Amino acid sequence: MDIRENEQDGVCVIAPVGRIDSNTARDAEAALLPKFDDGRPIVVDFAELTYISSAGLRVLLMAAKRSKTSGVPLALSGMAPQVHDVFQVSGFAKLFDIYDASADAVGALSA
Amino acid sequence: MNAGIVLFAGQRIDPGSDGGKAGPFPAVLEPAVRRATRERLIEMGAMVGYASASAGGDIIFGEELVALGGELNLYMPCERDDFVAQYVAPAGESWVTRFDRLCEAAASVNVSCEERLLGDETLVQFNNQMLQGMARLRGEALDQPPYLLLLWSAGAPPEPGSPADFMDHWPELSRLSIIDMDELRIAEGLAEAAAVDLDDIDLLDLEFGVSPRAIRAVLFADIATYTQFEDREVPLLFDFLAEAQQKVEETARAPILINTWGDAVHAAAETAHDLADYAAALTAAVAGIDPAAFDLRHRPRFRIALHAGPVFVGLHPLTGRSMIFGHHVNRAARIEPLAVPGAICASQHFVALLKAEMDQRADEARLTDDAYAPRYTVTYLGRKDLPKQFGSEDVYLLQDREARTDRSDAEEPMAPTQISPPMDMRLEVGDELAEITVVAARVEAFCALHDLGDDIAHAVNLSLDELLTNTMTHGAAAGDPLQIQVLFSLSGDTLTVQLSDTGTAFDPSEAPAPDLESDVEDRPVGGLGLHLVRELMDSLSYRRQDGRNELTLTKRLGATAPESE
Repeated sequence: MDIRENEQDGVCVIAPVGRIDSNTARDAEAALLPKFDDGRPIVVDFAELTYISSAGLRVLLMAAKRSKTSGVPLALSGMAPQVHDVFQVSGFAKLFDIYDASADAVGALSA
Repeated sequence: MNAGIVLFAGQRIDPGSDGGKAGPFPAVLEPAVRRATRERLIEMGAMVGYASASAGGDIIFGEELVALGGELNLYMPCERDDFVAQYVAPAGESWVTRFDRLCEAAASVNVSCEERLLGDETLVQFNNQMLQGMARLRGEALDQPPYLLLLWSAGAPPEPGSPADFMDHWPELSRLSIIDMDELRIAEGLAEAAAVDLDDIDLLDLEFGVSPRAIRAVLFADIATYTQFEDREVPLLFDFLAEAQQKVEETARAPILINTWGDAVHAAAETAHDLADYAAALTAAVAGIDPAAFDLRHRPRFRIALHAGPVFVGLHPLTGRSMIFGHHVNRAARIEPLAVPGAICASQHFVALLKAEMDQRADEARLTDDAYAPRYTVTYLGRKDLPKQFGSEDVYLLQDREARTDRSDAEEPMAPTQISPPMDMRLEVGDELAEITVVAARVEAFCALHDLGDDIAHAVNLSLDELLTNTMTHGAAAGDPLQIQVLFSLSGDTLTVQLSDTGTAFDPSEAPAPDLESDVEDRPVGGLGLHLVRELMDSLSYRRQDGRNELTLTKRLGATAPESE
């Protein structure tokens, strides 16, 4: 897994590429959680994520908790159908603001 | 890359371990070769393999394919004990043990020519042709064009059966994958292999002489309906056949040898395609002439058997006419009674050669931008017993697309037998988390081979990921290395996954349901993995047996993605 980062309209966009599983969840955690200290809104764009397991969901739940305590807005975007299914089945879809495209998520958070 | 079917040819390991015989594949390179082979098989998604079983690349390929749950088909050029003496034992006793174990693990062990090798490269060449043809036939049946994987050293001589020899006879360069031994040598800190001095070639223990054998396609035929003809009709029958022969001459190349005895015909040609053309022309001619015009009450019908193999060629001492003899000639004669009147039957040896020849023609046509349609199709009829201690033979029905009648002029239909892909896959899984990506790649290859769809592969992979992660993280009993096996099997509309491990007892079916309702602040981190497994799979059952966790999961095929909520 690689993680790409860029900034759009004052929003930090984090895009994991490949798989987030028990092998890579720690890398994802290390890349994502410190961003909540910067104060900018965060979009995690899944457009190039092919696979997520419960180890990846754990990282996102920790991010959601951090978002709540820090007040830094968090949104998700670009989920492939199978990744979206995992969010549905795990009841996680209700915990996040999920957009089809990263531009929509950035637009919502930068407004 | 998705290459379900892989034909392999690999460098033999250097014979013996006594100094001074440094060849292209020293024993120190074996671990690197094994790793590279395994990586390539995973990357290719190899599910079915065809290879010989020499000490070195072949055996390593076979062992790794079997470890990855693939189906291995071994082909040897000569009788097994002779093969071991020539190609396995010189590398040392441990290779003989590994050879025997591999033969046990293989899905099929085949001998291309049940004769002694006699230092004869013709048998080795024929074995290569068999391997290539069988991989191609299987590819056609499973709709997965085969790939050629080579373990290759630039310094090795292009002896018969070598990777270089295979490459020379493989037209489809886009379906060729090479493991370069020089790269492995450099990575291991060895010098590049020096090109082998051709004067020095006997150090490779190869002493091929002038071959007394040649590879020939062989035909046996007779008029199955001969007894219907009365003595007075026999001259009329021969007039009929003279007319047929004129038509045959117009459309097919004459066999290089043809002998007759009464109504029986024996012929041979240098290529399978030539002989198929002759058999098809004879069948079409006999079917196309009106017997009434020759005052015959019945239409004569040949039954024809085609076979191929290395045969001895020479002149008959009594007649001075050219002849062929040897095991394969006799075998061809035993196949003939299996054919029904009007049909052309062929052995797997023949169809393997024919398929490779037709693919070669297709590739030449591609290069020159010509249109090409293969003339023959084959239908597998099953493994048939042969009379007189000739064992059994995989028999095919040969069909001529250019024949005017559909299928053949056969009197009775011959029932086809399905050529099925491997229906199960057994994986040995290491105890590190990184192994989960290997499992994922194998599941994807298995699902691709069976066209199960991405949703099935994803559901199975995510479930195994969750279960294996649990076992690897929490299951190891102190001191004992964890052993994990996964068996996948496909039956009807159900994919069954059996997970067996030596970890501490744990029943995932008893795990409490996670909290899916509370808000972010109160939502516990964890407990989701087993929930995903239960949601994604259709059933899950657990038992503890003989100190192992035995978990059986099933997934129904064709079911839609799990309902949300």
